[in-house]
Amino acid sequence: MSVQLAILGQHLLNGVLVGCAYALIAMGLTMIFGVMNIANFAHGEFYMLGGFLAFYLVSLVGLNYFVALPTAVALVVLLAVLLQHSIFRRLRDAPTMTTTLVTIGLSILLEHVALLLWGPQPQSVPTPFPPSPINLGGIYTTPLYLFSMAVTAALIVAGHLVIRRTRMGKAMRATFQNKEASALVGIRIDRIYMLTFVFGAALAAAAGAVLGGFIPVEPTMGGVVTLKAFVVVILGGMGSFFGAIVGGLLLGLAEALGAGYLSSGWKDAIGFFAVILVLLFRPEGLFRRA
Amino acid sequence: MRETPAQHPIALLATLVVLLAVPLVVRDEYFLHLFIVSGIFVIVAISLDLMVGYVGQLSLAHAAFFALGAYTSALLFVRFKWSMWVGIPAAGLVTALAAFLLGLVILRTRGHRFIIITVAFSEIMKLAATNWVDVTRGFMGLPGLQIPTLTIPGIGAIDIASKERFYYVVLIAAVLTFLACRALVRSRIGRAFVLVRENEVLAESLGISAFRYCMIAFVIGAGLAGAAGSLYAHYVGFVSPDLFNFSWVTVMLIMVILGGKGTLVGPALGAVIFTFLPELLREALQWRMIIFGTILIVATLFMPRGIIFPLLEHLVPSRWRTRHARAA
Amino acid sequence: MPALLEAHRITVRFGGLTALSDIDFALQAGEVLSVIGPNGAGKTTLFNVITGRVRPTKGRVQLRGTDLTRSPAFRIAQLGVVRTFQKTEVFGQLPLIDGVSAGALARGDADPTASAREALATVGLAAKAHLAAHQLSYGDQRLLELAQALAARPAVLLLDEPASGMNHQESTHIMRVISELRTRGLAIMLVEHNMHVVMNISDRVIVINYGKKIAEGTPEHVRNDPQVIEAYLGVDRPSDALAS
Repeated sequence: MSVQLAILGQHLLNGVLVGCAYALIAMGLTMIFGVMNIANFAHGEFYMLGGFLAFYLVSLVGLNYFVALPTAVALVVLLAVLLQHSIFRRLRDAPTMTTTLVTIGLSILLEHVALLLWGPQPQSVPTPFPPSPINLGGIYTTPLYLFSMAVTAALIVAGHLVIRRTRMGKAMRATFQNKEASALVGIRIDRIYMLTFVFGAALAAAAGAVLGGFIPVEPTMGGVVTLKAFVVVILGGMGSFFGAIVGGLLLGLAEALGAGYLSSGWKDAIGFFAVILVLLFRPEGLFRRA
Repeated sequence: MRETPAQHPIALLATLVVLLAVPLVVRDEYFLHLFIVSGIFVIVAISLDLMVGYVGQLSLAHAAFFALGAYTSALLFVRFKWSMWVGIPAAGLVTALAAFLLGLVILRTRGHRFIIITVAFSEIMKLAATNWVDVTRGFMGLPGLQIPTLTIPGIGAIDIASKERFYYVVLIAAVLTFLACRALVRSRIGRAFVLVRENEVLAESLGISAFRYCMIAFVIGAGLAGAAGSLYAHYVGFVSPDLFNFSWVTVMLIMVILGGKGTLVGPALGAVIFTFLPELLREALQWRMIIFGTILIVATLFMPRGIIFPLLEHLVPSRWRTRHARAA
Repeated sequence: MPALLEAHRITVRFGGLTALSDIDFALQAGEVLSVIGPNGAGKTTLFNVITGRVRPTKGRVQLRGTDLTRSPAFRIAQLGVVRTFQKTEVFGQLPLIDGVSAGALARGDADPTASAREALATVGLAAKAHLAAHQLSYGDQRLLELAQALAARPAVLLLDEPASGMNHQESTHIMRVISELRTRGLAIMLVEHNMHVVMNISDRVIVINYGKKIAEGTPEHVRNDPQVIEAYLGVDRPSDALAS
């Protein structure tokens, strides 16, 4: 295979994995936004905590990698339950400014707690996979990559199935479409809020735990992650699950190609510029279905 | 519209007299430094209040405007040797222009989208400061900024670089900003701000263009923040991409929210308190931000009018309150 | 005499749904024109088109010959076409005197507060000027909406169900106010379900059903129109449903 094609393939592979991570994070964010009408500025912190807890459990507690990942997610879920009960419950029907300020405050809080616990150094989650590359027809990848790719893809599919096929998912969608009507037919709104919030946090934490072996986590990364997730949500249409998935993949690929062929310093700006363009020309998002 | 005892002209005048006396009483350089920085942040907080408190839109781009002003002034000084006296108005104009252009794009959106776009803008600015190394020198920043002398015809050049002297420069700037913004919010424009905030759809249906008034608050707020950034840059002596960190936004928000949004005086007091307080809690930077985050959550949920005014009303005897407070 | 407010062939389509189809009307100064029709017929959409909140797929709205159709909502209000809303809209936390001054402020009145006081007096709320809007009763809030609109000194007033939710005493009062405004030369368009109000105050009535105009004329004429009866009731029954 020609070198150019191989390089392109490399970028695409990276882009797809990062894109899947973005999709997972954005899926939760868009559900929280759609059901609870809260733009959760602390969402990226769930990703960051998923990664750091996985790191902590593997390196410092000595858990098996495959046990540590779900445990990390479970711990974040516990945190999410606590947060929902103490803070987010009070944000129901609150105005935009209130919910934004509270979630910004929470984001700062979580970020600096992580800094306090683990220090500012970026950390990678130690994985049991051999680093030896696998040759896929000229494009090189590693077992870790394949594992990460498989898990994130499976999670995306699982998330989609939960929303589309399960009763809980249907209740969530109903609440999203019409809160009063849902309450009238007996859906317990407070329970749906809790489930949605936890669901979103779990997806983000899972993405963080899985990708933590691949991309180092640092306590201050939550902000940028949140912002990227918002970019995906806006691109895909706020409240659109499908849009979050496709938007996430698109952003991941665009950034990988941009970093590879243009400049890695500016790659973060791709999403930000895209969002401004979308706002100018197609404010409801690239994918109209909500 | 509603005035509390803290905004009574006598209270303000008394405060001014006290402030004028500060360098005479306070000899410690460190405390003077804090006063100077608070003064600069008074300008920032008041200008942010126009958008957050009066028009009711949460702009998270304010710190980026502050930093943009700082960089503009720094670049003018480093490249063209233009002094701070030119730098301040230039910074103000450049940021106002940037806000105007950004506003054309984003001021028709509301709610979450608007907020997120302001963050995206801030991040783009940060990336520019970090990566456009030819112009901004990236992480190395632009050092070597100076406070110029003040040349008054007939008197000559006065050195204002000392903390005692520069304090008065900042004090004058802060007082002027306060008076100008107060005149603005009491004017017809200010009344329109509040109407847009209270019910935008209704205001539009009665003939008030929300876009226009949001733009006015946005541009003026940004320009003032940019000018403050210029003051800060020359005082501190250098600029770096750290000025674009999101933590600055958090601090500014706390000043406005805890001070009491929509009052001007509240955020001004908030600026002073939240410049002094963190310095007194010098312990660990981490704990400081953890406390800030918690304060922001608690204040937003439980103290919609901020801390300062409810506290003052508690302390001021009720006889005073009914005599001086006008009807709500 | 050329009409003050005119609409030609207003058509509104959202996706596959046609909300309004070929609506025409003409409104004179000093006239009260009521728009009635079953729920969902498109009446509020018509108001939204006239006031610039919704852009029509086809058609024109003109005020004294000037085309309003593409103008933004706030500009239309400044030109003299002001509306109230079906769901009460007020400036909740502000004292009445401040909220009502909005329209006057927008017009560039020399003394918006005085105009506000005047408007409050016209509707009978002068005594409560210092209260905040959210402290008023529902009926008073509906009157407040009217005052807000009046302070903008409109030439055309569009009232969306002004009497809805009001008891007999309140609706009589508001009818009196509307009559008084008509005498002052305002052109008034009314969307209303309360037939007592419609029949007693209107000069003319338009009936809209499924987005189409199915009848137009004096209240008496419309009350007896068989198409109208059928639209409201579905089968041919005497017109007592339309009686006050």
